[in-house]
Amino acid sequence: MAKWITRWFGREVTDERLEGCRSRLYRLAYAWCNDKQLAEDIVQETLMKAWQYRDSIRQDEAEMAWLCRVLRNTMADYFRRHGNAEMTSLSEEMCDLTQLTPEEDCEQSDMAKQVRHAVAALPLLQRQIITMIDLEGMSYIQVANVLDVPIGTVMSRLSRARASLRSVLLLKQKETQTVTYMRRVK
Amino acid sequence: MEKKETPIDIHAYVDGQLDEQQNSAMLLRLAEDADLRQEVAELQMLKEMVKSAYAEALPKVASSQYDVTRQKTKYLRNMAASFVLLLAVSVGWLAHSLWYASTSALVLPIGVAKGDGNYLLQMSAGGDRYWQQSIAEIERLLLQSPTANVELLVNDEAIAMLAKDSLTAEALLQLTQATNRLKLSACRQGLDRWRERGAAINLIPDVDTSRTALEEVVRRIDEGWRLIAVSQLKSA
Repeated sequence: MAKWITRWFGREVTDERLEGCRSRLYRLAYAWCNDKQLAEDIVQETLMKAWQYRDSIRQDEAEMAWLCRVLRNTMADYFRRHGNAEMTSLSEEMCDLTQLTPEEDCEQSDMAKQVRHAVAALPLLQRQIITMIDLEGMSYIQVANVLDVPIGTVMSRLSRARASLRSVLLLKQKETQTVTYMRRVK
Repeated sequence: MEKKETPIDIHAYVDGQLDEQQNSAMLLRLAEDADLRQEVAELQMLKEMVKSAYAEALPKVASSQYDVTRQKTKYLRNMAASFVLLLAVSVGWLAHSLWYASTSALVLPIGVAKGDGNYLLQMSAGGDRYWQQSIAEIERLLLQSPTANVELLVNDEAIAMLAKDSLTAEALLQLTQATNRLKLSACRQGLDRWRERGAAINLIPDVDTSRTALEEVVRRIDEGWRLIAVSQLKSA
């Protein structure tokens, strides 16, 4: 009886933990594929796979790293099935932005849109690396394990990704600021 | 010849990936190199921008279709979603405001603030090593100037740092008893979220919980305080 209760309780806890990761996985999936519906579908498939292999789930940070690996493999399978090695189109988000309610539009700052566009324009591997590090706070080693690449690759691609984002987001803003300032001075 | 840090070292510092020795070396370099400080501040800002850009991205989950767990989980998820959305809007706005106000490095990395002034350390991550680093920074700031005021503002997981049973509680209590220049604050919304999760925290005395983290950051910046980006460090 005690064994049964423990097992049942364990299952409930595992369910909640998996479900609690949905939003976090969705954010990653959305950043990787830039398609909201596809991200939801892939996260759902990821959670179903994770549920099947729930006995191998470890605790805490390792759990999220394991789920990221499942997510990455699920997405790679999807792209393989659909003959699309990498999804970089911005059209989905562009369409979404036109369908926002006024309230949603207010909530979505221009900066957030710019950042998402800039991230979407990165090569897939760079996108995956920077989002696992910045959104999930994963270590370089964890990211290397999830993506099956050497840690040096993680570091160099991260550096490249940030250089791209920096030039698009920060340097551009600096230029805009300078121009505005010069106009004011004139 | 002095060893200069590589771009990869700088990223590793910003991501909290350096070991203690490397971290100390980087702090020394930061203290003496204004360009490096600016670069670190920009990378930290970039990290926050990426974080806040996706914080508002939440799945439109059709619960009946995707039901894997109990109703309670759905309720908690919805509450969490609302919180994340609010936080996203807040952080997005804050990051935007900070960027335009920060060409003179309004946001400082940990370990580089010098001289008189008032400092707000804001942190949201959990982890003892991380919290110990914050306390060390508070001590450093209080010691470096007899007039500096310091406020530790915690939200999200870092709220547990101010719990009576945390490993850092004793050190913080001693500091607040030793000086009246240290103030402790916890985000009101963050505390509500802990309560919603059924994990109400018993805070140490004299923690101000009257404002949200955003309200407090904006208030202090308006008053001329400098913000220290403790949130970029990670626990081991």
